[in-house]
Parts: sequence; structure tokens; C-alpha cells
Amino acid sequence: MDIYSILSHPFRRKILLLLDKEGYISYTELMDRLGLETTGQLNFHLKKLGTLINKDKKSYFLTEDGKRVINLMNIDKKILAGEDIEYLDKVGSEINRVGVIICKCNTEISNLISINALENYIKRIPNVVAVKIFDNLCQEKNLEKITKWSKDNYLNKIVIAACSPKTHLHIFERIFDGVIDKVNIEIANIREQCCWVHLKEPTLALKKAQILIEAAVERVALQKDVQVKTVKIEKSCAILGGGIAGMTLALNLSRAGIKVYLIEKTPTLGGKIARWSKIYGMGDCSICLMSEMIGEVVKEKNIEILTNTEIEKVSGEVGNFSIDLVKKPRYVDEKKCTGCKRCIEICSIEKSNQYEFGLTARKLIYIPYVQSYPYAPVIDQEDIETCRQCRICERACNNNAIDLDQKFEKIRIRVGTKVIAIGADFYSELKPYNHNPQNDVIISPEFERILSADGPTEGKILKLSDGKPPKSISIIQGLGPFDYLAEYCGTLAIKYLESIYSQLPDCKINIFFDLNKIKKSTGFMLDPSDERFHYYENIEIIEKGNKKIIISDSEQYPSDMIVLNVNFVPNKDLKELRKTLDFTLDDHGFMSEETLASGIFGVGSIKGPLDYNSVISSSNDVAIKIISLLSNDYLITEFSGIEIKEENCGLCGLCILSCPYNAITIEADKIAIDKFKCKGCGTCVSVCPTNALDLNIDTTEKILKSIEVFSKFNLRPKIIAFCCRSCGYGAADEAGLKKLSYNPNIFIIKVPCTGRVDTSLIFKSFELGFDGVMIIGCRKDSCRYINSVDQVRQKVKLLKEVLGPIAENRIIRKSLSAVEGNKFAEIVNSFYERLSEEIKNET
Amino acid sequence: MKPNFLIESLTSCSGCISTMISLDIFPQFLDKVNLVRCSFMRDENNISENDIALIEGCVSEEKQIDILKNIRSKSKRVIALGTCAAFGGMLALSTVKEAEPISNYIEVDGIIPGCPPPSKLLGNCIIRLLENKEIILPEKNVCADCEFRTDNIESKFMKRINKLMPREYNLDIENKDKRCFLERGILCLGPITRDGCESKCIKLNLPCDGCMGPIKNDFTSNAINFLSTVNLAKGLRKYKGIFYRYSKPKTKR
Repeated sequence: MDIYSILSHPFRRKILLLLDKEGYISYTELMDRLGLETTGQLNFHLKKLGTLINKDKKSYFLTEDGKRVINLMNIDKKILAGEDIEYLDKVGSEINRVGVIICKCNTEISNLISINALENYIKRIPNVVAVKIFDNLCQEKNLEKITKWSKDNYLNKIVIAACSPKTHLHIFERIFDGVIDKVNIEIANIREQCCWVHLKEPTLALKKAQILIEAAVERVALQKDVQVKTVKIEKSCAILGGGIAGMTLALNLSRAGIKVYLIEKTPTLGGKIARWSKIYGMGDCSICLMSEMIGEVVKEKNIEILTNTEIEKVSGEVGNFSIDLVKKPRYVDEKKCTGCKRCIEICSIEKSNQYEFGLTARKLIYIPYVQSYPYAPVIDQEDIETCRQCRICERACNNNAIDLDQKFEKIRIRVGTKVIAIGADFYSELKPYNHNPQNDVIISPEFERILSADGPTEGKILKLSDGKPPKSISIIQGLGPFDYLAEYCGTLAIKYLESIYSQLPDCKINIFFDLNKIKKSTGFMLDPSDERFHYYENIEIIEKGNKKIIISDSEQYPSDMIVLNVNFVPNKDLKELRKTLDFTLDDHGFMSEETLASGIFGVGSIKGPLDYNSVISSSNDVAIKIISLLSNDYLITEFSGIEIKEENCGLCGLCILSCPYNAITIEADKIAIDKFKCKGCGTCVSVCPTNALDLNIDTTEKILKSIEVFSKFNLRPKIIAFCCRSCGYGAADEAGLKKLSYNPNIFIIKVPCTGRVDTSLIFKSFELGFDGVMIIGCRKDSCRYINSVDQVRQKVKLLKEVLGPIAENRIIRKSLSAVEGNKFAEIVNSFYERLSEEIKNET
Repeated sequence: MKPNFLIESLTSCSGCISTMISLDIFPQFLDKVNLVRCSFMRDENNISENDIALIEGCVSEEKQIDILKNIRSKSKRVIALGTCAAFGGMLALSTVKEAEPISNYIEVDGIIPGCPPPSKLLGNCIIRLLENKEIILPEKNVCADCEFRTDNIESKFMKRINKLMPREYNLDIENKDKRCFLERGILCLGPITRDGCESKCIKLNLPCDGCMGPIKNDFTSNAINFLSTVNLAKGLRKYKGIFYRYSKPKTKR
């Protein structure tokens, strides 16, 4: 029977699917359902279906063969293209046809254990329909054979008893693509975790291999279909922040053909760097560079610039976000304005200019700076009430460009991904240092303005108090809460040294470093040979008359001008942004790296202080990531993670508390999971007190079944080991690769993360006769799932406190890296010794 | 043909059966069934064939095991009535006596949890039993119906849990604090406890102590999973009553 030719026609597929769905269907109903007009066509197809269907008095139904074919159709998605897809998503297939392949691994396995005995045992396991033995499975010609073999036997699930899944699982997934779902391929690791580590005990190794294979068969039989999620990718990107990082990224993306929305909160592009004098190491004045870059950005057709705009709401998921924006009124129509500045001249109210860090004053209606884009005046939101009472500028404008009654504008954009590039803030608690620009105690941004050609002193280093050049300048380094920024401040100090020296060669310069901070940071070296550098532990600025004196560790340094080199601190808008955009912060409050998969990227100093070159290179890196994400038409994920049963959820929120990725949310009395954020660690499953949550591949049912099968091994003391799939399982494999020997009474259960291990699994193991439980996870600082390993540590700690000494000796939790096979063997052996001792004491 | 019912009490306070007797449907129940044995109401020695056996109380003595096995062999369905029979119950706190659920010894076809079972749930279960149907229990936890439930998870689990009860003067029901107990730093086992009681205690300004038992796994492991995730004060970690209140974990026999 050529099943593929039967299935080649959509009508025949539909007949089978309808019969499968509804059981019995009469001839006339089939005509209706298929939309056929003539009986001849239907008769032909029914005849073609042959032995797959049968007919009783009234209606047609599926035979056993037919049911098997239906099962196969579920597997072979490629046959079922087009209109029949809706039937494909039905959960789980009832029939399990498991095939077992044993690999002798070039006598590595067969030398130790009898393959015949293994085969005979496996044939008796329920659900197993075929067993095949290969000398060396991973050879190309054998790989071709097994796909054909599994098709011939109508297998829908397969167990491969061979080497570790870490070695060849990906190859099997590839060759079974389109024949058997990859979730239905299970590997029984009889080489690294059985034969190679029990070389001295062949009989026990055989028994263990049998049990390992049986457990794998049971597990794969419990596997249900996994749904596939598809998202159409919107080929556009929203960039928040129009500074150097945002603009570099925007240029990169737009040149790759991606539509970019460049969203800037302030009225002009340019960011902080536009206010700097020079760029360190480039010698170029930064505003020249920036205005050139702004010019390029404006020229790009793919970039839409939205200044004075903020994000209000974000919804959707990676590949398809919908963002609501609010454009604040500028009160000046950019299209009508010619930039004549008449309105500015006529305005009579002044206030301090935030673009000069308050060093100079500006009018209420103003242009931020000469090179700002868009080049049109603006009135700040906070001043508009004052302006509405005056309206002199409105009358003065010849082009009627000024409209003081402009309204907020709402814009909705659809993007595939979003980037935050809003930069950082400066440390602002400067009271102890008597910060006062009018008294020549200034911070580094203000000094940058003094050095800039368009600044308050037109680029000459002059004291702001009396307009004379200073005879001595002191620079105090690294003010701020962090110590890891010393390197950045160092380059800044060198830049200032060069600038001061070129203008005032006779000026005496002292640079003060905080010794405590340098000690902690590894990036900066002491240079005691330079007499301009001073390293202090305590520093104080005092004023005697009109002189300022720095007292550093009881030595006095009189200074005409003091520059406080302030550190970057996290942008204060980050906390507000977190409400709408989903990302996490690191210990210092900067954006952390961990959230890239959720469709949010961060570039520039939002992730910590960076100099110009690092900003450019990090922007380029992120551009590549975004281009690769958006280059596909669809984002297809075969989701392996959490499945939620809403009807069982009582909304207690424990899962939300434990999730390391904030992937679970409660919205409108419903629990929801962001499938792109979820990495499938299963930590939430371990705390869920109801049956609402479960992993869809490593289900609780499968873990319990494994424990049950493993308990058949009847030698004491028995040990069960929960190993996380990245480190613990890797360490066990490593022990095998090194052919270290440990006791065969240990059974390893692979869990995605040890965070999945909950107390009931430990109790269940004890109940089923295991004497010891081992939990082997990643090291605390290198857990693949952020802090999940810590959560299991807490559980075990509390469990030991509650159960007392019984648990103390019977449960161990260790952290190993995947290369510490020898430690793994050591732990198993010493634990085995300890448990043997315990059992002796018991009896 | 009336179904034959058997009601047996093991080690218990008889609270469950008292609740059952005080149900408004109990007279009709008596009309509709043939009560073959009810040791609470009348002395009875022999155990006869029956359709449904309701067993209350936990197993704490050897001879009870024989009784149980005898009942099992003569009953079509065995239902554990109350938390003692279902999970072990209050006696699990005892260090002298064993308190085991009947399921440790015989196969059980259904449980009606609660200490005692809430009358509405018990009534519904008995009606279903009379109709010869499966018992339906709520599959959610107490939080689902709790009027104080907050969806603000951060504030819910932020406070260190260091109290077992609200302070005495807070027992005033009229002026009660309308926040979630956990938010107030008071231990409430609602998250790990099966719903069905309509959060009666919480309405009386008393935190849930878990009498309805767990939905999945066992009480102790749920309590450890839950309390190791939240911020539990050191003093309470040593308080074993929290972890063994209504059952002890099943160990190897």
C-alpha cells in the first residue's frame, strides 16, 4: 500500500480527517462536506482509500490501518499543506508507535553488555513496535537507513540508545525532520552514563542500560504534540533616543532597508555628545561630527524622525509590536518656520539654558543650539502658560508659524523590534564639593561647554567668575557611586590635560584620583611618576577669602578652577520606561544584557559608561542582531517552555515571583505567558501549587515516570540525580568521556534547570525506595537561567531544616561546571559510601 | 433499589460526620440510601457488601488497617471523608501517634477534603455520590476566590512573613484590614490550599491554614516550595507546625 500516493489528493486527506474527527459519516454527508456534485468523484476517492476505511450499513469509518495513517499524517506535516492545517493542531496523538535503535558504537557498548539480552528486554516493553541494531549509527549511510526504517514501520516516536544527546541529537533531529517530530526523539544515554562508567560491572551495566531504555520509551510515549507559533515580522524598528548611539544604529538599519522610527524626547537630535567639545582620540570637534551625522540621518528616506515624542504604551510581541506615541506640541510649525529668529529676539522673558547646563540664559522661545535639528524654535511644555499670557512672538512671526494652542498628537506605529538608546545621566549629589559655576567649581559637562567653540566663553578657558584665564586648574576624578568607571574618567582627564595644555601652557594642573576606587577597579593603572597626579583617600574643598584650596590627605593645593569629573549614573527615565518596555536592570541600575530575546535592545551608555568608539561599535553589533532578526518574513518558534491551563489557575502569583525572566503576567484576571521570553527552565512549575503550569517537553508526568522506572533497579543504596541539562548533565557525560568509574546504582534524570526540581519530586524518590537524592546544577554565578539555581538551593535548605538530620545526609546539592567530570564521579562515590553507612546503621 | 452506604470512623474527632449529619439534605439522604453500617450512630460489628463506603479519620493503629482492607474488599467505591482520611489530618502534628491517610493502605476512589468539609461542598459531593457520579472538586487554590487577592505580585510577596495571626485587636471583622495577608507579613497558606471553602476563614480575618489540603503533590512539599520562594522569617522556619499541619510526607513502607 503506497500511503503517500493515497494521501496525495486533498479530498482523500479530508475524508480521512473528517472520519477521524467525527467517527462515522454517511455517504450523502460526505458529499456535502466535500462540496462534491457528482457521485463518481467520491466513489473514485473512496475506492482509492482502499483498506483505510470501511463501511457498515449506513456510514463510513476508519479501519485500524486508517487510524495509523491518520497518526502518521499528524507527524508528516509536509503532506498536509494548505486547507487541512486546522486539524493539525489537535493535542496529542493517541497511538504510540515507538521504535528503538541500539547503536553498538563500534563495540564500545557491545563489548561490555550483551546486545541480544538488551534487545530481548526492549521488545517486551509496551509501545515498542520495532527494534533495530546498528554497529555504528552515526555513519552517513546508516542515518539514511533509519529514516526509511522508521517510515516503513509507521513509527511516530523513536528512542535512540547510544551516546549522549549532547553528541548527536542535533544530527538525529535533522535527519528525522519531516518524518518524526523532534520532541518525539528521545535518547537513552547508554554510553557516557552507563557503559563507559561501569566498565568493571558488566551485569549491572546491562541491567542499567535496560532500565535507561525503558524509561526513555515511557517518556517518549508520554510526549504530546507541541504547538508551533508563527509571527509575521514587521520590518521596522523603533529607536528611542536620538543621540550618537541611536543615530548610528538608525543609519545602519535604514541602509539595510529597514524602516526606522527615531524617537527623541527633546526637541532636537544630537544627544549629549553634541554639547561636548572634542571627541577623545579623534581630535575632531564633536558638534561638527554630529551635524554631519544628523545631515546623513535626515537624508535617509527610511528614517522617520519624531522629536519631542515619548512612548505611551507598548503591546505585542517580538516581530510585531504596536507602540503608541505622544508627540508633545512644539508650538512652532516646523514647515512654516524659516528660522529667522525674530520671535526669539522679541521675547522678553529669560531662563537658564539647559543645553548649556545652566551656564547661560535663554529666552522662553528658543532654538536649543545652532546645529540642532529640526532647526526651528520651540517652547517648553512647562512655560506655555506664561507664553499664552504674552503671545508677543505669535504676532511677531511673519509666517504665522507660531501656534501657542497646538495640541498633543497621538501616533501609533508598528515595529518588529525596539531599541533603547537614551543614554545616561550625570552624578548630581555635589553638595560636599561646593559645586558652583559662578565660583569656578564646575562639573565636567560644564567644563566641556567652556572648551566648546560655541560655549559661553567661545572655547577659551576662562574663569566664569571674572573672565580671566585660570593660573591653576584641579581636576577631581570619578565622583559618583561606582568604582568601575575609573577607566572612562581616566581618558576624560587625559583629554582635558591636552586641551588645557594647548591653550594655557603655563597653567598648573593637578589631577586627583580616589585611591579607594582605583584599588577596586582593575582597568586603571597608577602612574606615580607624573607629579601632576595625586592619589588621595580623603578630599575636601575649602575657601579662604576668594581662594579655593583643595586639601588632599592633609596637603594643600590652591586652585583657581576646580573641575569635578562626574560619573555617569543610570538614566532617571529608565525606571519610568520599565513600566512600558520590558527589560531588567543590573545591580548598578543600568540596563542589563539579559533581555535581548524579548525584542528589546539597548545601545550606548544606557548599559554603562562608554566612550565614543565603544558606543559606535556596540551600535554596529546591535544593528547586526536586529538585521538578522528582521531579515525573515516569519518568526517561527517551536515553543519549548511552559504551557498554561487557565482553568486550574487561582492567580496566586507564585510563578510570577519565581520566574527569572518576568515572562508570566496577570492581565484582567487571566494568567498569560510571553512565549518569546520564556526559556523553559521550569522554575515556575516547581512552585505552582495547582496543575495550572507544566513544561510541554520535560513534563512532570515524564519525570515521575522516569523515577518510577528507575526504582525497578533493586540494589541498595539507590541514588537519583537531578542534573540540569547544561552543567550537571554535561559533568556526568564528561565523567563518561574520561571513563571514570563510579557506582552503577545512580540514575540521572535530565531536567532543564535544577530550579525545576521541587520538593515533591524529592519526596517521591524517597517514597519509591531511593536512598539518596542528588541535585547537580550550574554554579551560582553562571546559572543558565539567571537565578533559578538559587531557588532550588533555598528549597533544599528549607527542606533540610524541616526534616532535620534524616534529610541532611540523604540529599546533596552541588554545583558543577560541565567539564568537572572527575568531581561528579567523586561526589557519586562518596555519596554512595555515606549512604551505605547509613543503611548499615539502619539495620 | 437503594444504594448501600457504609460510613466508618477511624481515629477522628467525628467532626466530618457531624457536619454530614447536620446537612440540610441529610434526612433525604437517609431516605434514599440503605445505611449498612455507621459506627458513629449505632454499634455494628460486621462489615457487609456495599456500594459506597465513606471513611473519616486517619489510620493510627494496626487494627484499623485490617478494617480498611476488609471494607475495601466489600465496597465498590471508597471515599475518604475529610482531611484526616484524605491526607492524615491534624494528628500529623503529633510526635507520638502515627497519622496516615487511608490511601497509604487501600485504593481510594475519591476524597472530600476539609476539616471539616465545607457543608456546601460536602452536600454537592453527596448528591453526586447518590447519582453514582464522580466527585468534582475545585481545581484552583484559595486565592482564586479570595476577596483580598491582589494582582500586584511585587507588593504581595515583598514583606517578610513573620506572623502567624493578625494581632488580636485586628480580629474586629467590621474594621478589618482589606489587604492580602501575605502583603501584611502574615502567613496565609491560601496559595497552596484547594478552594471549595469559599475562603471562610479569610472573611473572618483569619489567614488560611490549609485544612482543605493540597491540589497536587503533598502538603509538606507544597509548603516548602511556597515558603522557600517567599521571604519567611527565621523564627517561622523552625516552626514545624506549618509544614506538617495536615499531613506528613509519605515515606517508604
